[in-house]
Amino acid sequence: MTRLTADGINVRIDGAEIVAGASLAAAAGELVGLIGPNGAGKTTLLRAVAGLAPCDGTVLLDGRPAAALDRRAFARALAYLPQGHDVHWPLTARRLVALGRLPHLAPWQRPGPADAAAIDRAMARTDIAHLGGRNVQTLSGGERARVLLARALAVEAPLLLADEPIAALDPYHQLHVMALLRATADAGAAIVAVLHDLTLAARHCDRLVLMHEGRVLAEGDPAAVLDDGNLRAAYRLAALRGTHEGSSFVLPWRRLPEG
Amino acid sequence: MTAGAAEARIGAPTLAVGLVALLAGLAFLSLQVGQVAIPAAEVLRGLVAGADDRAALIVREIRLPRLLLAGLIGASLGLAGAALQGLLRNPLAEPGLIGVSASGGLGAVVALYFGFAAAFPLALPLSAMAGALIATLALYLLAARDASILTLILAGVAISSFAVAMTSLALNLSPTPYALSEMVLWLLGSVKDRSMADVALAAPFILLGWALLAGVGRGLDALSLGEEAARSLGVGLGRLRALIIGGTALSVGAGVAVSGSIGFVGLVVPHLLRPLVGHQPSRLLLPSALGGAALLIAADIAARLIPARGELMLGVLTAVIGAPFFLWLILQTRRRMR
Repeated sequence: MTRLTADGINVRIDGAEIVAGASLAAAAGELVGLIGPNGAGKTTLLRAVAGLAPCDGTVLLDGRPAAALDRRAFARALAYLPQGHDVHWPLTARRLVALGRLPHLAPWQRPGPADAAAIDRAMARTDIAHLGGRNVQTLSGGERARVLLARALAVEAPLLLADEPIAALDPYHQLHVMALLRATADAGAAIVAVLHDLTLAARHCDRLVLMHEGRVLAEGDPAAVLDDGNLRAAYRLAALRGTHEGSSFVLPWRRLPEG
Repeated sequence: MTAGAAEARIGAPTLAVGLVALLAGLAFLSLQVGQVAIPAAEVLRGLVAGADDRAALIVREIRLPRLLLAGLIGASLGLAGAALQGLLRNPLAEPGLIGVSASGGLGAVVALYFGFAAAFPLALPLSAMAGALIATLALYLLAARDASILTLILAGVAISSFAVAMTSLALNLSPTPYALSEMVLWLLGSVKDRSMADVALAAPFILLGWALLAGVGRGLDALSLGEEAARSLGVGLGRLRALIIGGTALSVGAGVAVSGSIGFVGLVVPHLLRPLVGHQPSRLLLPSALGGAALLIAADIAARLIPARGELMLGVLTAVIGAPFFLWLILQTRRRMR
């Protein structure tokens, strides 16, 4: 079932065309990697789809126009995990994860057992149940990334957009968060994640969307998207390819000369 | 638990009940102390039984309006301070930041300068309210719609500076020494010698301001995650900002109109109470309102009790205690960032 269909997305900021005619789709159970070099428009496309940047084009959530949903219904249909790990107050991890339930609460409605259960599930899935009473500002980067991911998962939206969820994490925690995203997709969610690590993107994603200069240059099966021609055109890179433990990998290896 | 642990040490209901008890105790005390000490039994007689003797009149006509204003204004400052600190995600924010206090002060000074304060009893507070209203509209036009938080702060500082400059000009060109001393004394801030008419003038605006601020807690909680995440959780940031600026302008502006400017309560109270509620913005609103009322009533009692030539002005007292606290706060914040 197609959770997200975005077509013909154009975003102009101060007259400059940042995203031009891009499209993005994600089905239930699918982990889609949104890749491309710095400045390709990945974050802007994600923000446009999440309703955070004004854009032209159509965005359908579960086949319904996103524009027809009110603010809270939209927030229940689409969870968004922004870049960065900033938390402005020293809240406990559990209270922070609980913020993910806000779209489910009417004004003045108190959180109920269903909300507590959703918070428990999100914390168990991200392996942070033991951190519930800790101050998030004193957690390590890997722990905080998982707490913020749990906040987004606690929305229990059918669609999750995550902007660079593994940036600034060490390799162990990068693998951990990728595994969490994979498991969340396998449990039925549709996920679009902006990624810079092509090796992890190729290995964990069902499908890749490669952006270059505001347009979608290629999309589809990871191996096909990351072929030599696309890597050269978008990244000016050559890659090392191989097979390990029965699966193939791609590793950016060398910069290519201009032209 | 590690240093700086975020877990609240006492439950929210316990804190609220404790603050209400403190507030009630201080309120009752405030009716008893002053130039004439009035025993508790006589206070009750004056309030409840409606007696007509001198003590009962002092309680009803002099001390009750003073108590009500200190409570309403203190609560407004605490509540608005907590809301603004949440909106700006900065523990150094306070209601004076948006320029409403300084502009209300300018309105009052204008009334005194041109002498129409003497025309009828409420001329001065009404002029102060007009000043606060104009500042709010200016802020709204400059910054309230889509602009960034930074623009909002800069616009508030600009409006505030302009109001202070115009106030200084009025003091500079003051027609008579008497007018000058009247303006200066008014600016120092006090709830002394106010009547029930002042209470009746300010209270509706203050209550309306509280009503606007009452519902902003969840939006402020979501803002802990930053503006983008808050919007993605269904929070309308423009509406949240308008509610907080409008609520602050109404409640604090109406307070300034009848009391002059009283600083630091809105800064200090949320900061003191924040650790007790686990730093969560929504849980800070009610305690800050109760704590602000308690603090200002306590300060007003102290102003009456501290022996001085004449009575200490409330605004002076809060600033004398508040400014060193502010300095300490900055040092603490800097230490934590290091």
